[in-house]
Amino acid sequence: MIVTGSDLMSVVPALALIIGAFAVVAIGTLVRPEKRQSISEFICYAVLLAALVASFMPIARPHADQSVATEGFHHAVRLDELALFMTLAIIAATGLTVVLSADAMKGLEAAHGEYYGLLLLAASGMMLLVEAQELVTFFISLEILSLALYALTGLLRRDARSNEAAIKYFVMGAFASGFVLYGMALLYGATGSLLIPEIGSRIASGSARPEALVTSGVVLLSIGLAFKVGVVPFHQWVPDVYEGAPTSVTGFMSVAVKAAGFGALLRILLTLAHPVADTWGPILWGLALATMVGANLLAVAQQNVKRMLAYSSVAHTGYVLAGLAALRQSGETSAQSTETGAAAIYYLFVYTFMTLGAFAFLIYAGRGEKDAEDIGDFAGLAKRKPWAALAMTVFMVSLGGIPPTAGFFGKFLLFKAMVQAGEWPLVIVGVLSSAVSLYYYLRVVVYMFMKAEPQGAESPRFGFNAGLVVVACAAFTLALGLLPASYLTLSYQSIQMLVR
Amino acid sequence: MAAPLLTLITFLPALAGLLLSPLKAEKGGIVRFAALFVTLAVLGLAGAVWFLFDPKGDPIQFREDHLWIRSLYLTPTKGITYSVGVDGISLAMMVLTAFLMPLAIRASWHQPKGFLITLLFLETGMMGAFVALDLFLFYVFWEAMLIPMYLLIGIWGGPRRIYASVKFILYTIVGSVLMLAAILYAATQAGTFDVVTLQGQLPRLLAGSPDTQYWLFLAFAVSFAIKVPLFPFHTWLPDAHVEAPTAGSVILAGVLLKMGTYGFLRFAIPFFPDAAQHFTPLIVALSTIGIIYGSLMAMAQSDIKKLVAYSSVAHLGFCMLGIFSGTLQGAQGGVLQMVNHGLSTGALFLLVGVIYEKTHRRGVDDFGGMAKVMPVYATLFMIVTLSSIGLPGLNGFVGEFLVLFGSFPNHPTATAFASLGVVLGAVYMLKLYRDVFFGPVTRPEREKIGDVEKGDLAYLLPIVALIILLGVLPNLVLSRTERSVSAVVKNLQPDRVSH
Repeated sequence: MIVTGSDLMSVVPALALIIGAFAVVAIGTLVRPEKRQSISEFICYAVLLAALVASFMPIARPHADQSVATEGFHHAVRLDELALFMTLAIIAATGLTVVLSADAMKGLEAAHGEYYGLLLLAASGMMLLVEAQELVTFFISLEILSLALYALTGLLRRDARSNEAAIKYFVMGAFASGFVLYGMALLYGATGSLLIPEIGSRIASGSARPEALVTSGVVLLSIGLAFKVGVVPFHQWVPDVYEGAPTSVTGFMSVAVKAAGFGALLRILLTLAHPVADTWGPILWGLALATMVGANLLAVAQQNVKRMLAYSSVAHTGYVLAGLAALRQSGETSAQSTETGAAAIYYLFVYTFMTLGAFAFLIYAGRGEKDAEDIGDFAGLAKRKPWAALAMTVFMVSLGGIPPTAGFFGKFLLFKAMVQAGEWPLVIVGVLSSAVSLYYYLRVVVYMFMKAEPQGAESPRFGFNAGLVVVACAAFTLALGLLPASYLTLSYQSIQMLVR
Repeated sequence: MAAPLLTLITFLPALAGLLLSPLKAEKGGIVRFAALFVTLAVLGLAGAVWFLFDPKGDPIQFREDHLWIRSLYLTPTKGITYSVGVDGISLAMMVLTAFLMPLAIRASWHQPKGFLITLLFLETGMMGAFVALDLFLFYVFWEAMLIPMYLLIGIWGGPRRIYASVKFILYTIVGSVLMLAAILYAATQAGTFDVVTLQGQLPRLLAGSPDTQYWLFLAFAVSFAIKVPLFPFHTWLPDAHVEAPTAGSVILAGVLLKMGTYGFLRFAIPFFPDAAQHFTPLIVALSTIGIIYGSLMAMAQSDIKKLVAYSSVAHLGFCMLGIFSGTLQGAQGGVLQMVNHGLSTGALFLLVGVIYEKTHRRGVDDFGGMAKVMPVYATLFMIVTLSSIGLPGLNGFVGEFLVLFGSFPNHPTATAFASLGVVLGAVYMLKLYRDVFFGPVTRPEREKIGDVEKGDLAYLLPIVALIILLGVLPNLVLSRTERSVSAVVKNLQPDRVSH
C-alpha cells in the first residue's frame, strides 16, 4: 500500500504526537538524567503546539456550507469537524497535564522519558480514535491509548496501589477489548464491510443478514465500550484505578479518554446507528439511568477525594450518555440531533477544564510526597490559600452544575436536548441526581472553608505549575460559563457537518 | 432612559467585591467603609428608580435588552438575552433589598473582610433575580445567589453551621433543578426565554393540555414553596436562621424568602393560570396550616432566633394566602406584607443580634427585666414587636388587614383560621417581650450590659422609622404595586378570559 500526501494530511495531529513520543524516549536515553525532564517537556510542548495549529487552523475559518474534512488510508480515517473539535479538547487536556507533571512527578523516582512518551502516545491514540471510521482502525486506536494508559497507571513501581491499579485496569481492559472485537466481527459478518458509513447504509437498506447478528454485534460493541469508559454497572474498576494511578495520570485519563471515547461514540451513533436505534436506544437509555443514579449515590459515601472524583467522573459519563440516549428520538430530525450532539461535545469540552482543574488542585495541595486525597487534607486550606480554595470552589460548583459556571451551561444544554426529545425520566433523574451530587462536591468546600486545619499539620507543597493549571482551568470554567456563545457555535458546526 | 440604572444597581456590589478582594485582611477598615458606601450608593440609585417609576406608565419600566448568548443554532433562535426591567412588584422588592443591605453591612461591622465581600456578591445575586426579565438570566441569578448565602452561614455561623448551611442549599437546589426542567420545557415550547412574552404565550399554548400545565406549575411551585417556605417545606428555615450570623438572618428573612413569593407572582401564576387556579385550594390550605403551625411552634421556642424563624413561617403564610386570595385587596396585602415582613423580621434579627453580640446568649430565659437595664433598646423592641403583631398605625396592620379582608370572600374558612393566627402572633410575641423585658432582672450579670450604642442605633433607627412611615402611609408601596398586582390577580379569577 502506498501512503500518499493526503493520507498523511488526514492524521497530522496524531502523527505529530507519535513523532514526539518517540523523540522523547530516544532523546531521553542520550542526555543526562537531570536534563531529561526539561527536554522532555520542551518536546511535548513543541509537538502539542504543532498539533494545535494543525487542528485549529481548519475550523477557525468560517465554513458554514463547506466541510473541511479530509479522508485518508482508503476512508479508514476522516479528519472532519467533529474530530478536530475533540482533538482540541484532547490537546488541551494533554497540554495541561504536561504542565502539571513537573509538579506531580517531582520527587518521584518514576523515570521521566517514558512518562512523557506514554502520555503523548495515549493522546495520539485518542486522536486517531475520534477520526476512525473503519472498525479495525477504531480498534487499533483504542488499543494504543489503552496500552499506554495501563503503563502510565502502573508508573509508581514501588507503590502497591499503583501496581494493583495497573493490573486491574489491564485485565478489565483486555476483557473489554474482547467484547469490542467480538462485536465488530459479528457486524462484519452480517454486513460484509468494515467501514462504519457503509455498515450503516447496508443495515438501513436491509441487506444486512441475519438481523440477529447485527443486534448482538451492536450489543457486544456497546458493552465493550461501556467497560472502557466506565459506565454503571461496568464501572467497578474505575475508582481503584483512578485512586492508584499517579494523580496527573488520573486527571488525564478522566478527561481525555472521555473526550475521545464519546467523540468516537458520537460518530458511530450519528453515522451507523440510526437504522438500529431500536437496538442501542434502550441499552444506552438504561445505562445512562443506572450510571447517573449509581455513580452519584456511591460518590456520596467517599471519604477520599480522589475516589470521589472517580465516581464523579462516572456520573458525568452518565449525563453525557443520557444526552446521547436522546438521539434515539431526536435522530428523526437533523436539527435536533445537531443540538443533542453539540450539547454533548460542548459538555465534554467544559468537563475537561473543571475536572482537570480539580485534579490539579489535589497535586497543588499535596503534602510531602503525597497528593491531597483524604477529605481531611483539605481542612483549613482557605486560610492558607484563599484564591486557590476559591478556584477549587469554582470547580466543585461547576461540577455540581450551579451557574454562572461552564458546568451549569453544559448541563443546561444536555437537559434541554433531552427535554426536546421528550425523555422525561432521564431529565428528572438527571436533575435530581445532579442535586445529590452537590452534597459531595460541597463537602470539599466545607472542609476548605469551614473546618480548621489540624494542629501541627505540615505545610502543603503549593507547587507553581499545579497552581498555574488550577488558575487556567478556573478561568476557562468561568469564561465558558459566562460567555459560551463562540464555543457553542463551534460545537454546533462540528456536529452539523456530520449530520447532513 | 439613558443610564442603565438597573444594571448599575445589580452589578455595582459585585464589582466592588471584586475590587476589594485583593486587599489584605488588615485593611478591614477600608473594606467596611467601601462596602457601606457601595450599598448606600445602590440604595440611592434604587431610590431614584423608585421616584422616577411612573405608576401609570408602562407596566415594565427601565427596561434594558442586550443579546447575551447568541447562537444561530440554539433554539430558541432568538438566543438568550440579558434583559432587565422593573414592574411595581419587583420595584418594591428591589428597594427593600437595597434598604436592608447597608443595615446588614453596618450590623456586621466587627466581621472580617471576607464576610462583607460575600454580602456584596449576595446583593448582586438578589438584585439580579428581582430585575431579570429573561428566564435563563433569572435562573442564573436565582442559583448563583445561593453560594454566597451558603458561605455566610457555613463559615461565619453558629456551632451547627455546617449542618444548617448544607441543609439550606440542598433543599433549595432540589426545588431549583425541577424548576430548571420545567423552564427548559416551557422555553422550548414557546420558543423564547423572554418573561413578558412567555406570560402572554404560555397560557394560550398550554390551554389545551391541563396535565402538562399542572406538572409545570408544580415544578415551579415546589421550588418557590421551598424558598417561601410554605408548610411542609419549611424545615430548613429554623436551622438556617438560628445558625446564620445576624446579617445572614436579616437578608435571609428580609429578602431571600421573598424570592419564593415573588416567584409565584412573576412566574408560576402568570405562566400557568389554569393550574394556579386548580391548586389554589391546596396552597390556601397549606398557607393557613403554616400560619397556625408556625405560630404554635413559635410559642414553644426558648431560643429567640428560632422563635422569630417560626414566626416567619406564619407571616409568609399570610403573604401566600393573600397572593392566592384571588382578589386585588388580598394580593396587594400579600405584597405589602412581603415588604413588612422584610422590615419587621429584619429589625427583630438586628435587635436580637445586638444582645447576642453583648452576651453570646439568645435564649429567652437568659434574659429578664431588660427594660430596666436597656430602656432605649426596650422601646425599639416594643415598636418592632407591635409592628410584627399588626398594631394599627404600624406597617404590619395594613398588610394583615388587607390579606384577611381580601381572602374572606373566596376562602372564608381559611380566613377564619388565619385570623386565629393573628391572635396567636400577639400571644407569642408579647410573651417573648414579657419574659425578656419585664419583671426583675433575673441574672445579675446582665445588670451592666449597657444600652444600645450609637453604632447600633445607626442601623436600628432607619428601619424603625420606615416601619412607622409605612404604617401611616402604606400607599407609598401600594400605589406603585397596584397595576402589576392586579394583572397577576386577573389570572386567578374564575372568569379569566383566555387571550
